[in-house]
Amino acid sequence: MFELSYTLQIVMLGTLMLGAISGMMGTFVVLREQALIGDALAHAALPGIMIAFLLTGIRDLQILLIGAFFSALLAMVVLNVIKRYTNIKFDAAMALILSGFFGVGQVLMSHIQKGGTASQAGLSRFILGQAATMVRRDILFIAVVALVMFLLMMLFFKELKLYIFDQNFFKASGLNERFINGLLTMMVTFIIIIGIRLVGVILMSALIIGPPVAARQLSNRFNINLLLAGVIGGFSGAMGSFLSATGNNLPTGPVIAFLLGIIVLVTLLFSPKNGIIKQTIQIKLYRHHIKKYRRLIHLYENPGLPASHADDYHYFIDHAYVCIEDGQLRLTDKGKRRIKHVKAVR
Amino acid sequence: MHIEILLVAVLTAMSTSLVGVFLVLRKLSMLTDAISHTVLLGIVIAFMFVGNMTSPWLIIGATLTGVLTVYLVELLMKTNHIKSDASIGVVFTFLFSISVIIISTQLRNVHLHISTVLLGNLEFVMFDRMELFGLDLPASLFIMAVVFLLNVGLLSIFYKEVKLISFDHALAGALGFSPVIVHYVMMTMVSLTAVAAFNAVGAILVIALMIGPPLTALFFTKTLFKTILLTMGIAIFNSVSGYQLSRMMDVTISGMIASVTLLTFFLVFIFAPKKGLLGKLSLHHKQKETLAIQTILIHIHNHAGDIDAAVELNPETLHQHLNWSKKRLDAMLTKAYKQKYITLEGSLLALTSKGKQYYDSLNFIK
Amino acid sequence: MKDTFKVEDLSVAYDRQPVLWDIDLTIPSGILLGIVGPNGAGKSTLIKTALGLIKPLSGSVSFNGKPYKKVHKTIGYVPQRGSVDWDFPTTVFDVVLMGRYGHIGWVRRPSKKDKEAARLALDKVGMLAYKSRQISELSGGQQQRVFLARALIQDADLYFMDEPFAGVDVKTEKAIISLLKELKAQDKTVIVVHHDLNTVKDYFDWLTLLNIKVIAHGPVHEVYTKENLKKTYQADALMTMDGTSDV
Repeated sequence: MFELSYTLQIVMLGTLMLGAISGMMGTFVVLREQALIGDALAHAALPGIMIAFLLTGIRDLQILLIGAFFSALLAMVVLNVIKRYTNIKFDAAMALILSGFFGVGQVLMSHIQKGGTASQAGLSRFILGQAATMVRRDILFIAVVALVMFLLMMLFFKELKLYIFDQNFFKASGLNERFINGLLTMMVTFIIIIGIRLVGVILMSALIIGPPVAARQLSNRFNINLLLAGVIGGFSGAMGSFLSATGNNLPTGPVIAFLLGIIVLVTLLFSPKNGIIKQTIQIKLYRHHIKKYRRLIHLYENPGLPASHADDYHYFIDHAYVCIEDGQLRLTDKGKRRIKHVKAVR
Repeated sequence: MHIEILLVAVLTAMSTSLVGVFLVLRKLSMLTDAISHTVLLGIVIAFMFVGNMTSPWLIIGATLTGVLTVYLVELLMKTNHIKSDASIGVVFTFLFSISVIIISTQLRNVHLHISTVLLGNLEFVMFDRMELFGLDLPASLFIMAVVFLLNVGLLSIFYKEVKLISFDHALAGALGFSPVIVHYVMMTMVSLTAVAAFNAVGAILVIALMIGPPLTALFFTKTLFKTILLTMGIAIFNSVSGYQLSRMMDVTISGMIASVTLLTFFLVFIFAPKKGLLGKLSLHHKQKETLAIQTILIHIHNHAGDIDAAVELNPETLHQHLNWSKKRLDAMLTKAYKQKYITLEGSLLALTSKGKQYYDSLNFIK
Repeated sequence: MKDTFKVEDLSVAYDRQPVLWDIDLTIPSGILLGIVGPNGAGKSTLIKTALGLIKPLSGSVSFNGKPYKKVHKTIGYVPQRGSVDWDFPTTVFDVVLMGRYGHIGWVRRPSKKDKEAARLALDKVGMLAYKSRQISELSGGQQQRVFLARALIQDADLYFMDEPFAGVDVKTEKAIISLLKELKAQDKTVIVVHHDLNTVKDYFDWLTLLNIKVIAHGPVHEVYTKENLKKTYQADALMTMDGTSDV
């Protein structure tokens, strides 16, 4: 079989952990209808990275990520202030913060690297990530963050779940909304920050959104969703890095995102619950039946139509769905069964 | 020729923010995030067919992908009941990852760097030139001008329809204006504009240019037409001052324009007279004050002539009954004295005739 | 009285969930009709289907025998107040003027006559003084008056109004109902989705009780009975009464 090189093992382990934890975290975020918050925060991290570098002059990943963390946190605070004090729609505020913060980051970067254009190589690393260059220390860092996030998630599982499903009830139960909201934001931010290193800013959203969306197609139960999202995320992460390492010059982040996209697509199309294919067929069939048996349904809802309407019903009379009794149109047993069947398609 | 760069910057800012007005009003802002990333796939696929970076097919292909993105997002929302932001996230990351994979495997040796496409490069627009009517112009300038005129032209022809559909979708349909057609024409223009802006500002900063000026303008305006005019004004201001600042500080132009866009938004958000943060806070403060004075008046009215009036209406002890701090009570009493609502009768508080009138005007039943 | 609006065998479903089931209605002209039923009974859906905004599964809707597209200029519509964004940067006058857009048609601009009509309509609902206000500055009742003015300048023979009394003050409610009665006196037909059972008898002369199916339809004094109301507001959906599998 394959012999996995040490580097590849490292990378696969890293992306597996990242995929699993962001998939689980994403379950909360997507249900809270803030799926794109990850996208906004990831972009907003850029100026923080640059400022951290300007202040320390060190290229050390962990230090730069601390800058990223504060920058993303600032973006989140600004978003909340805008939401609280204006009528601006949240998605508009998010779009502006995402792009505006990124612009500030680009300015800082071009200032650092002087001469405008040379900066772009460094930036594309931020945008698309660079999993292939991970070393043991990076993995340790990711493992620690992922583990802490996982423990926090389990510790506050009950509260998080309640908050996601019913914020009003949560408040009414006397629980601290600010705390749980802050906790959620902080956890998402942390995960995004470690994700940027691996898959980059743009595709981080795939890791947050893809797994929960796919999981949602497979199960209606929250706990199962959470588990499935973790499994799907972890699998795509590890599998993605494996494929990208074996393929010719395949970038890791995009391969993971592509894989996730395929998984989402397959679940959307074929989910036994409400897959597009099953739904489309059933809806077509339902519509067809309703159209075909329109008159029969009408008779069922309005019993006792006089036989003078028989002209409209000759098809159904011919097929023994309807008979004429005492000068009235009557549904036969066959007709009643047919109606039951039509209704049952849903 | 720096004036050429400036012109491209201004035209880009104006075209993008013009379509942005309607994206903001129709709550589709984050859709630009998706469109601006997925058009890359259209460019890549068109490039694989024509093998030429300057072919107009690239623009057409990219625009079509943008429209396809909108369609797919809406399809997911409709068939699988996925919320709009989740469907945006699913669709755009998938299409974007495909384009990056194609670029890095199939088009390695080609002049198509992901970072160039994503980040744009205003500094370089003047190297890519074309000749038109004997004029030697940067291609971007020409493209941006055409897109801008197209946007303005379409909008002035269909202004009434666009306005109606943006405000009241259902009525538009009932009056016989097909909302679906107008929606897709609009989305085509958004995609085309995003594609055209690519060279100059790239996929990420174009979002700020689209959304920033209209969001800023909406703090001031009360009609759609004025919103559009002010948006254009702000776009021009942002791009010109962003350009100047970037030259002074020797940093990236597009990044600076986006930064200035964010900055003008923040300034307006904080200082706008009525709808701004400070305005809202001071209004809130005033309302609290009015409520406090009303509370005092009601308290005086209710206890006037009571047996315990001596304690309840004593300005030295009143704060205990209202459960306020002494400092707050004194401040509020001073205000009430100043407005001649209350007076001292002996050592006790009493309503003046003006105070009584004010009390009567308060409608408690409501 | 001739029949102005006719619904035949109409069924509408979202996905496979029936919202309207085998609806037959004949509505004569010159009446004030209330459509009443519990939440999710398909009241708004019925109106939207009549206006061609929703495609039915089966059945048809006609106006004096013609389809909606042919007669849309003679039909006025007041959507639910909550269906639009009241922060939109537009003035009261502009919103009212939108009622003329159907008559004006594609591309052409409102004329002086249209603007005069808007002014008159605003005066009629007592909102002329507010004509340059941005709509975000209005109270709920004022917003509803603006919507009503917009419908008035559609100069229609038949009006559909979706919950025009929802969230308005008592004064506005009275003003609106007297306006509707005035329309009726001019031999126009007004169809209103309503939710307050207490006022049904005072407001309307015809009543449709709807809960996915038509429970009862006719003059108010015939339809407004305890039995009918009980049937309409029965807790469980009528669709599942014969033990068909539920979702």
